[in-house]
Amino acid sequence: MIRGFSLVETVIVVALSVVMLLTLGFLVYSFNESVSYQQAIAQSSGSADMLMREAGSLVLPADAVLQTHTFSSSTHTSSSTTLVIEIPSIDSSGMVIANTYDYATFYTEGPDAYRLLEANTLSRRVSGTKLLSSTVSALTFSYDAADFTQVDTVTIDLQTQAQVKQHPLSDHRQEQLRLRNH
Amino acid sequence: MKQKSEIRNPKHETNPKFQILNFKFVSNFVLRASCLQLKRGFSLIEVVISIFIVGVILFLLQSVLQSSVLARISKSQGIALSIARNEIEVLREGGYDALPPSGSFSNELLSTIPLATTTRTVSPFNDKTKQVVVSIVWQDPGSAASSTVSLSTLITQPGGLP
Repeated sequence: MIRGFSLVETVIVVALSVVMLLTLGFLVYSFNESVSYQQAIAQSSGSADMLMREAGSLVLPADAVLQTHTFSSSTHTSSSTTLVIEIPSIDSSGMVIANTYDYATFYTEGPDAYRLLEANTLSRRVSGTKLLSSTVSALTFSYDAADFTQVDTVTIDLQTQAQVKQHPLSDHRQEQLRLRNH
Repeated sequence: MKQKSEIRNPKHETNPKFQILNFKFVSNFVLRASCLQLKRGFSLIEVVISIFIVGVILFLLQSVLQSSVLARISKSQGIALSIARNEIEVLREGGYDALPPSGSFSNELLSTIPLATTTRTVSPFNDKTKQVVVSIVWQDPGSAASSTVSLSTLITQPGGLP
């Protein structure tokens, strides 16, 4: 006995398949949306956190904001967009080495924020340039005194922005840091 | 002639006995088949499999939605931590004598966290030391519980702690 599907059965099966496919399509679409959204958050929010952490770890032990300093590759001058600091060197057990200093600068190049550290050969810190964020829209340093030798508090204002398809996703951080060794 | 035809087709005449049997068999089969068709529904296995498939799809959808809530919470957490660190730093800079009483504090970035409330608790730790606890509580849309970031520090008078 040969039986086929009746029209009603076929219609129902097709309708169910369409609903299933639409659901799956929506699932895949929203999954993609969510992944790109999360990547953008990781880029903008995560890199903002990283920059603030890195700045904290170097500005807190610093003893002075320098007007200008010549690093091996270039000269950096403190301004509202660049911060140059002098940090007493530490040895492997964390003790300060007298009269020995490490120098660090934070600066931006377009949307990229870098930290350049030049450590003394005795210091535990490791010299190098580090890319902290590639989504910076504004990085501003403000100081509590116009004369850099008097500065003991630096306020860092950071805005990052990442793009999710058409929607910009922005992040804003502001922290005040006091030079503990000033 | 009669004999000839009988010889040619000896089984042309249908056996009445066979015919009855045959009819009975066919009618019985048709009856059973139509009965089967009328009573046919989904079997237990079919129902279980379809519920399973629908369940898997719903679970996937739910976990996708949940993950974006988590991403939002972690973003708010970063901002809250930054605000709390800043508040602690400001209080430390002011020093022991300038410590404000317990209460709430403000920050221009608080508006970027949904439904944020802040608390600053200043309590005596010992004679020349005060303990400061700074916490931020907020509620992200979509999450069941509220989130908290809390930092604490000790602020001393000169010579307060060894």
